[in-house]
Amino acid sequence: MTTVEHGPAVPQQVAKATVPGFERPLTIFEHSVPDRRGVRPPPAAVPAAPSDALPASMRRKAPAALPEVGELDTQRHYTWLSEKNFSIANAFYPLGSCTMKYNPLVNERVCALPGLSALHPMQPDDQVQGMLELCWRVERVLLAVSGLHEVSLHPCAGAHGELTALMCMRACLDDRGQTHKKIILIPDSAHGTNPASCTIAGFETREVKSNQHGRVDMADLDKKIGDGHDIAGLMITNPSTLGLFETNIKAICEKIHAVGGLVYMDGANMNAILGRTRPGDFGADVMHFNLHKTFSQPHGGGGPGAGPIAVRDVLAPFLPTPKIARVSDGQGGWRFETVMSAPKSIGRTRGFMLNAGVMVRSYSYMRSNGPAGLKGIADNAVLNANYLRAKLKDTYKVWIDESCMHEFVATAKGMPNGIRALDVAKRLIDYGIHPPTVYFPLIVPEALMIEPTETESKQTLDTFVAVMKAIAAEAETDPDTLHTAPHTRSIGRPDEVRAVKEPKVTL
Amino acid sequence: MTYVQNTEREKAEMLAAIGCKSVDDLMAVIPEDCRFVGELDVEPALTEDELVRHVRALTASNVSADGHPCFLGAGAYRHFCPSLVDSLVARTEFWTAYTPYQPEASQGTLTTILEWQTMMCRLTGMEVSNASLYDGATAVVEAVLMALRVKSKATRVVVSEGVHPDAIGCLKTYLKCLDVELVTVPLVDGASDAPALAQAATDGTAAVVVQSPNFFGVVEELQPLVDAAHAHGALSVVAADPVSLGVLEPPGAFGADMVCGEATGMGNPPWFGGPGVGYLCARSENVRQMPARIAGETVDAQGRRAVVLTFQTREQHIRRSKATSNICTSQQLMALRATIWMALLGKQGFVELSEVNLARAHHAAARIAKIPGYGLAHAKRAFFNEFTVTTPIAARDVNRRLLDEHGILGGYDLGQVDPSRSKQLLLAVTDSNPADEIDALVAALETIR
Repeated sequence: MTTVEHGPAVPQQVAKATVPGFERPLTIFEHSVPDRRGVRPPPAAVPAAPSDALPASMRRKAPAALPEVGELDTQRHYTWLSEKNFSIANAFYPLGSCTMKYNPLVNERVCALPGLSALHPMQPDDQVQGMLELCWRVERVLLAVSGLHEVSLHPCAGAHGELTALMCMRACLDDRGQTHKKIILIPDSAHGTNPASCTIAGFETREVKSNQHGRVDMADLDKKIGDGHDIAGLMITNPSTLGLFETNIKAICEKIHAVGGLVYMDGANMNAILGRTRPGDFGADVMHFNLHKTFSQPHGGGGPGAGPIAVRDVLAPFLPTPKIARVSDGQGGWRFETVMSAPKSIGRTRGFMLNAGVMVRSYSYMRSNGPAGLKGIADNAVLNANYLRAKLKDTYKVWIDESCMHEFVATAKGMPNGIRALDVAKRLIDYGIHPPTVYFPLIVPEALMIEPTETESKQTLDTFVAVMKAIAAEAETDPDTLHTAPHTRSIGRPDEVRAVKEPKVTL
Repeated sequence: MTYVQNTEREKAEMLAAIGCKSVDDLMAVIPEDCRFVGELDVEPALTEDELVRHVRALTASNVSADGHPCFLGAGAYRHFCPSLVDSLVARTEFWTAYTPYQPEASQGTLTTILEWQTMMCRLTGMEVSNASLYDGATAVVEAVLMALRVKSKATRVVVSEGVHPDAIGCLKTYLKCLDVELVTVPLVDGASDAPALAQAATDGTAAVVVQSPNFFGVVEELQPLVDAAHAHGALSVVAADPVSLGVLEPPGAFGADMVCGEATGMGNPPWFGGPGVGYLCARSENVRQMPARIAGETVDAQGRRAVVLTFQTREQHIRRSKATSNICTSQQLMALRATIWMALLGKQGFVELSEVNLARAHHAAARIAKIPGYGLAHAKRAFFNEFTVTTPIAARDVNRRLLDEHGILGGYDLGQVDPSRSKQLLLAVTDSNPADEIDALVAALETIR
């Protein structure tokens, strides 16, 4: 194992010594023994269903070949698998655009309060007033930080928020009789979800170039807007995926508005601007939040998240239903209602109403921080990112070397001995650090996109700097170690081509 | 309260290293006319202790199935969950991990995805599965969008009214954007109408969508429904509650092209409707048209078994506007719960649990049908763990009296989806409703006329 001074602990490794034929099985299926039982379900304790309850044609002929394993072996198997994971709890994740910050445990404790997880989505409003009020309060915080007018907590994830918002934009334009507006402009630095969401919402996309400062090229924007006849809107990420504030943002929004378009703001990087600027104030008409980034819902190995959207008043009638409304209870207080439909609403884009479990965690995080804490998130995210940029820029070329927001993009281009961004990324794993986002944004060759978040300490950042410098030195002296990294995990680089050419997606 | 660790002294050192005096200097890149000045209009910060008390007080007024017998289903079913599921999923290595894009740092999560895909395929009788989708309703949408990619010239989708109304609602929203016609076909005595579906699914239809057990609890006779889709070359999409597949023949056995639905009930609480987990299984010939993540097994340079995300060229981060979907989330933690849940129940236990649902629901239905004024709305149809009961007074009033007078959370008032069904109650009876709860429900209904 490679170490540097004060290095973070490398995640626990699985035992390396094994006796041939007695290696630990990779999957739960290989632990299976005929007739072994795990957990027994409760007995029916009522008479069996009549034999004709299901016609023979509907009866399952052979049971599904699920594993046959005991509780202890199951516990060991999944504990062993968990140890093969990097996670926030055991490693630094300078993962650009993903905002891998600390997931406070009080959020989990609040979620575990009695009765919350057992609430059924079809319970009438009068039985779930507390849950509805909590969600309504989440909406208030999102309004406060966005400067917009109405929020929907409906979408399941960031990309789902994009799609839902684009559908609202389509409905709004159609309502204005502008069905011919079909083009969404998207800067070339955008997340892949932006153009993908446009396609599913029935729009066409047109790419806008970045200038040498990593900002939207205003001349190209003018050119792509043209006479503006077909322009439905713009999707813009601010701060951008280069970690830069879009300094012309007001002018950009005005140009879109001037041709009757709507401005969508991808809120993936909201972490950087909380309490410092508000999308509603600089011209955005609609945005989504990634509650799993900005408001610390744990990533869970890929989900769940939630992607609420906030809109300006012109888009509010089109928001999805069901949604929450607060109404007077007639006795000087309030009650909360689920609005199931609205005349101009796009309708629903998911089952039930919202990801309540995510809302509870986010509410907990919002209330832990309060107004000063929320601003402190942005301030410290920006401070940590600029510190890393300053300390690394002599070793790794920073693509746009100026004051950044919550992240910056360096490049491995020009490293010696054919070392690529992927090699640096894989070598970081040996040092117990999760790789940065690599090869994104697409406009930077050999990109290393680095986002430390506000919750990392200076010691961790200093260690990361030392490791990155050590890797740069290794690139000179020991490139093979980098080319073949990582060396300390249960596997080396897997053969991804084979996974496509000889697909094995079930066991 | 803040989760920022750096001290004021460290911050000063960091600013010095950057070469500026304050964070305000760094924030000066935000043009002056865009800056927000002042304090955010949000409520003051709470300490950890205050926060727990506050949320407890805020949510105390909720009435929950934790304290009351509950017979609500309608797409969200409660099932027994072994303690080990909570314990394992509480491992921070699972719940604080990122999406497994770096396989060497994510073999744990990736292996569980491969296990999940395998289990879902074996349950549904299908060949390929993805890593999960947002929920059951969007899983139906994604299956239909997938069918539209496979049948790229098609302009119509046919759906039975037995499909969950949320899924039909989502289909309406999504398909409107794509100028695809959505044809809904009414039920006959609570079951899908195969001839009518076949008639609606003329040339140019991408998919025929049915659900079994359907929204009203009826187990569909799947073979004619699958055949109705195939008659003119459409794909057959079947939404199914996976828990029912312990006793029901899997849709794959009838030739379904896609099987999808809500898997939340397997090891996950209802959580007021989310986060849940959807699943989507298909035939291997269509794997490249599937949305979202798929894990696959391969080897590393030393020949060691490894699991990776595969077929990534379908996905948004590579294909952008031409991707098979915009999704870059899997409901991984929920899918992990379901995976461990299925493993713990195992081959026999899964069937037994499914049988318990069947037995309890039939026991309850038979007794309720004998109560004067009550009956089964679709008495000739087969059902699994949910059934539609006709009520002597409005279902809504039955529910109100069940709670007020007996402390029971009743069923789903079907009048909410169809005014002509306002005297029908959809009751779910699962392994989470022990015999004494069924006794209590029957006794209560006997007093509600």
